[in-house]
Amino acid sequence: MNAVVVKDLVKKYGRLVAVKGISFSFSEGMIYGLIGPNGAGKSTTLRILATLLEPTSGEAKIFGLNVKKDKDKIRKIIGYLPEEAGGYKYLTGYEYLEMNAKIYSPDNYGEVLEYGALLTGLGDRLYDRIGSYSKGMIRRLLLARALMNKPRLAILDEPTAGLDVIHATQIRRMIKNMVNEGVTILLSSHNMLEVQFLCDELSLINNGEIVAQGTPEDILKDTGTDNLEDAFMRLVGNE
Amino acid sequence: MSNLLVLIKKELKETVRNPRFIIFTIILPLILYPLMGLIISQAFTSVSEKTKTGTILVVDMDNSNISEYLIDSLNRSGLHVILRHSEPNISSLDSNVLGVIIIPKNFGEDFLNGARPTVTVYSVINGVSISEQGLMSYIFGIVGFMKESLKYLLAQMNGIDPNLISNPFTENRKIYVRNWGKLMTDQDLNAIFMQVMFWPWIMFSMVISVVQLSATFLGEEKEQKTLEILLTFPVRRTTILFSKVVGSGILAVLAAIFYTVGFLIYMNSFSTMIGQIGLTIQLSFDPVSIILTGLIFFLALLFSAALGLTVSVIAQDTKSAESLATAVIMPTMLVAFIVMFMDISSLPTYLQLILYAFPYTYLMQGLKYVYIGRYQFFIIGIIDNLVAAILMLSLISRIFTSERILTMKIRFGRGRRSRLT
Repeated sequence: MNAVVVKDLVKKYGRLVAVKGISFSFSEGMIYGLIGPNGAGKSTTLRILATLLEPTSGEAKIFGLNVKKDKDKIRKIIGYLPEEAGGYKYLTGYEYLEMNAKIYSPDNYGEVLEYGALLTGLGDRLYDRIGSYSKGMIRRLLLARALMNKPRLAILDEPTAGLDVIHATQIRRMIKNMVNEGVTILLSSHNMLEVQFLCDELSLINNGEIVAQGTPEDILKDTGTDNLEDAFMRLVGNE
Repeated sequence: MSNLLVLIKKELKETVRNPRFIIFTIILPLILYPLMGLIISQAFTSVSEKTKTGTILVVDMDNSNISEYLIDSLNRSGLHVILRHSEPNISSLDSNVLGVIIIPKNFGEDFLNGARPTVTVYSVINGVSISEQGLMSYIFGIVGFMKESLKYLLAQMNGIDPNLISNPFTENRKIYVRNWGKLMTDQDLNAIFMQVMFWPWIMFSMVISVVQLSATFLGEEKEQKTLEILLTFPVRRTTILFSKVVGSGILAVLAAIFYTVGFLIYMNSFSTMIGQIGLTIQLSFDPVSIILTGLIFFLALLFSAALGLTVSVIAQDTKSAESLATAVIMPTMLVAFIVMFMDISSLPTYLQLILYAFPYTYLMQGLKYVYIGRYQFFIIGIIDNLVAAILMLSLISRIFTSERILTMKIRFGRGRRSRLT
């Protein structure tokens, strides 16, 4: 079954067209990547899929549910991690996860909370206020929040942005492991090497348009390059 | 030197682009303070005009040479004096009558015998405000002038220095407040004046604290980057909004409780004073006025909370939200000033309508009306505040349930472009 189907999606902010009629789809159980530079339209596309923004035209469906009409149903089956996200500085990490667990899984929130706490890998620091956390700790907490109730689709916008190698590696491992738990993942990144490591399939986006789609191997083969960065540069004609 | 200039330029850019600088250094001094000055000067101009056009009713029950001499002195000083020989009904005087001076029977005889007669003086004012207080002083000043005239007459008759004469007659001062339909002593009025004078400021500080506090509710979500996650929770947007409104409402109730406690302590200090100086009028909160005042409090604070939330929807971060909230609430300071300095009923009808359409006017005027038990004022105030709160809540609800909650942004200074991707 297709996890996500996006067809001719357009998003305008006044005169500015952020997304110019993109289409892509992928199946359940995959890690799919939207790759491109800053300002390419990745976050706008993810925000539309996360039901935060309305598409100007076109269609987007998640497990057959329309992002315009079935917002409430979609919100129940997705876990969303925005690019620039923070936590409530006066809550402890544990309290934050507890609130999320109670909202997403009221019937078995204790179990979900326990799993979320494990995912963070924060140990006793989970009982400290979020205001005292480092950037990497907050990112792990938020990723755990997005994944703890094992959503059918996790939408992760730049999951490792701004993190050091150690924290970025930990998070990539978390993402990979979640697929084994039955979570389909859609992520965006401008780190093309990361995507090459993580994603089963991807779309390369530039200036609101998709310039290439397929598996990393197919794209490398088609462009005659040996990494996605070079492939992207060749596709957008900057080489 | 060039490094210094570069650093100075940086300092100036940082400061000038700060919303607080724009509000507190440009908006406040250039708009608010001149407007406040205008209100004060308008208040005193109206006092001055009233004294020029208003009349003084002199009731001469004595008809002696001395009383005629006094009336003649008043006429010669340029006052508009209307002479009567019988006591008028104070509650049905013409609107241009500023005061009534009653010269009693045997005044001249008592004066000549050194018995120090008593003149009854009514200052007739419209309400309790600084400008009306000025009118009251004006009438009592006329009595002072009458005393001076008699001192000179007595000195002339006896060939002595007028400064040796202390007080040719005593006066029994009374104040009639037209809009309240109440007669009181000047001590009563001064006590009431002291209470109602600071009331608008207490209310203003309460309102501004609630608006600013609720403005940070969403401002902090935006600043801490928690809003997007919150909006993807599998709950209705209206539920999220309702949680914010209830949160603000709880803060509003807490604020109302703390302000009421502070206010009761404030009132208690006047009760002590009233007991000490033996005043005849006291503010009494009967159950009906407590309920009505409480409702006005609650609704005005609910409106404030909704206003603060609306401000925070369009503000970018906590600082912008607080600054914008301060800017939005500043007109309330003008209302507080008007209530303090002027009697609203003396303003042109269109201004009265504008003021009474503004929900906070009822909160600020409320105390004056508790004194006179004018409950219809509270009922209108409750309706006005309820309508304002509902309108503000529906506005914020519309914004909250659309994507504008994420895309509407106001940022002071440069950098108005939103991040779109």
